[in-house]
Amino acid sequence: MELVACGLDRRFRRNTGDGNFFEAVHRVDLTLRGGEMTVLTGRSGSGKTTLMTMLAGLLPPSDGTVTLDGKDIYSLPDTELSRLRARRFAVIPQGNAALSSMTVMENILFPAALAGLDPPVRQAGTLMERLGILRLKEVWPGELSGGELRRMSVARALAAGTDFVFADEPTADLDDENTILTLEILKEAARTGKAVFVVTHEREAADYADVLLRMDAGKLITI
Amino acid sequence: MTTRKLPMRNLVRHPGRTASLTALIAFLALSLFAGSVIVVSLNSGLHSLENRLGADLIVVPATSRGKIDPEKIYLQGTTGYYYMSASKLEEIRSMEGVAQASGQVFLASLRADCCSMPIQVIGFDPETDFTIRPWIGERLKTDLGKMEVVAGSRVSAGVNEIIRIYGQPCLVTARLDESGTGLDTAVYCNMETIAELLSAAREMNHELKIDGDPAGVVSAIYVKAAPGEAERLAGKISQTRSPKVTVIRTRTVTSDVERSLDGVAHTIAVLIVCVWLLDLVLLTAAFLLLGGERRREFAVLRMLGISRRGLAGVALKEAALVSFFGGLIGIFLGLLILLPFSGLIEQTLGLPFLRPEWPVMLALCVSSLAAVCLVGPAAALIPARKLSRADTGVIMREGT
Repeated sequence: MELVACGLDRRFRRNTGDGNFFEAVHRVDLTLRGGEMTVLTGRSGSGKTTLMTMLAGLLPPSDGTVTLDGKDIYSLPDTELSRLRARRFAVIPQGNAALSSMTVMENILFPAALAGLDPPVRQAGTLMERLGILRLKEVWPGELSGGELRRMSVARALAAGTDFVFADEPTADLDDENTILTLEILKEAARTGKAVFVVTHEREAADYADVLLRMDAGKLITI
Repeated sequence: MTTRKLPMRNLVRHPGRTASLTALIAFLALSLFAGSVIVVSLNSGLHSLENRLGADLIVVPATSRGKIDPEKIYLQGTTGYYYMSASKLEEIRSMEGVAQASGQVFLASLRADCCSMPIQVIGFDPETDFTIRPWIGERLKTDLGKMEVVAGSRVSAGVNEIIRIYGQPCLVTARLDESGTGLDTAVYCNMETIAELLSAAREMNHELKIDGDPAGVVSAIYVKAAPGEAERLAGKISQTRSPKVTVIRTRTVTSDVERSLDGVAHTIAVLIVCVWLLDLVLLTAAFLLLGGERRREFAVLRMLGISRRGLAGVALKEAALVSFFGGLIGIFLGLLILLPFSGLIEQTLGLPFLRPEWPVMLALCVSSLAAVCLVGPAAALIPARKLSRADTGVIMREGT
């Protein structure tokens, strides 16, 4: 099980004066494998999130391909790519990613419903308990703190049982104890065969990485 | 939770947003439904008026013109009293070109036990009458006896009840169906009864300009002309003297009403179109604004694996649900306004107003609801398409 990025390039229109384009990601080649936790670090604005969203099937690259099981995912029609995202990819994005009309538990079970799978109630319960949010399962997201929302996002991504987990600053709003716990849970997910891709500023994350990468001005550097 | 249930949940969980949209759509439904009912009611009222006037010409004393507009008695129920000698009836009846002629006597009661408003008492001659009799015939089992009356639909007295008019007890023997005209606020009796009531009114110092016996007067003479004779006959009757009379051509009354009705219907139609256009623009703007506000929410749904089509479906289903409930509320409000206030509407418009039968009302409800249910999602189409086409990755990069 491999997700292969080849020659990934992403340019954004921006009034910079030199051609009016800003190149966020420049010719990136990368392979994510099941059973590995890949950690990507780098300064703000270096292109980490852009690279992650392209790998997760959420942002078409300007150039290059992202291949899964021999198929370029961006060549798929939207319905197929959406189905693929629902069944095989889980994303923990930056900021609040809760659906405000659903309780915490419903948020966590929703991806499985979208993928047409049975609700993973047990896995969700276990994850919520470990992350310390089980008591909040019937609470609406509007009542949660930043850290609780983040842990809900982590639980939602892992309960879905997808092959790939993409986490963008998954420990951003967490205290030290919860940071360690979240990284451990992500590492465990990698051990169970998932390919885990973590974008972070957190130094501790390097200790959990099977593959450690750094990004600088849109270019990928293996450490 | 599934995508099928999500639109309803989104509406329930955001009551402020939902209430604003629902109110906008309810207003749209109210304007369409109420406007349609008013136009249909005016048409029905005119039709009913044409059917029930029956006569080609109505002859009234010339002096009545200055005091009161006799047309208003038929259209709006304005009460009045004016009299001329019954010999005029014989004079007209003997004219060439007259197929039928019958007299009626009016008496305005300023207060009767039955009613909170003045009622018009109309006396007619069952032997010669051809305008009232065919209309009330099916309701009246036997001939009207002395001091017996038939009540119009808006006179609040039941069958077998006694009402007092100028102190005289009158037995209500039947009630009429609604006509949507001023005839609904009248009671009908024979000539013997009206003569009794005129005497009673005169005794109570009611200022009636009757010289001599009240049994020898008429207020109006209804004339049915022989085919093709109406025009000539109207001219001929107008030229008669003692007393001088005014001839009202009923066709003129109805075509005047028809003209006013066309004007009112046109104005209402233009208003409905303006309200709809304005509401459509407002709705589209509201959905666009909401779409902007909900960009991240929709991006999260895309991130979780919902397709563009599925996302547009959620947005459109929300719009359809809001439209359905807003439509129901608007129509309910329309019924709430139209049912109890149709009399006031008739009075304000000054035109015959006959509310449609329930099957027609139901059809108007359903068609208004269907129109609103189409317009809501149509207004949400552009915002839904814009939302579903938005680049998820770019929105997610924006963070919170």
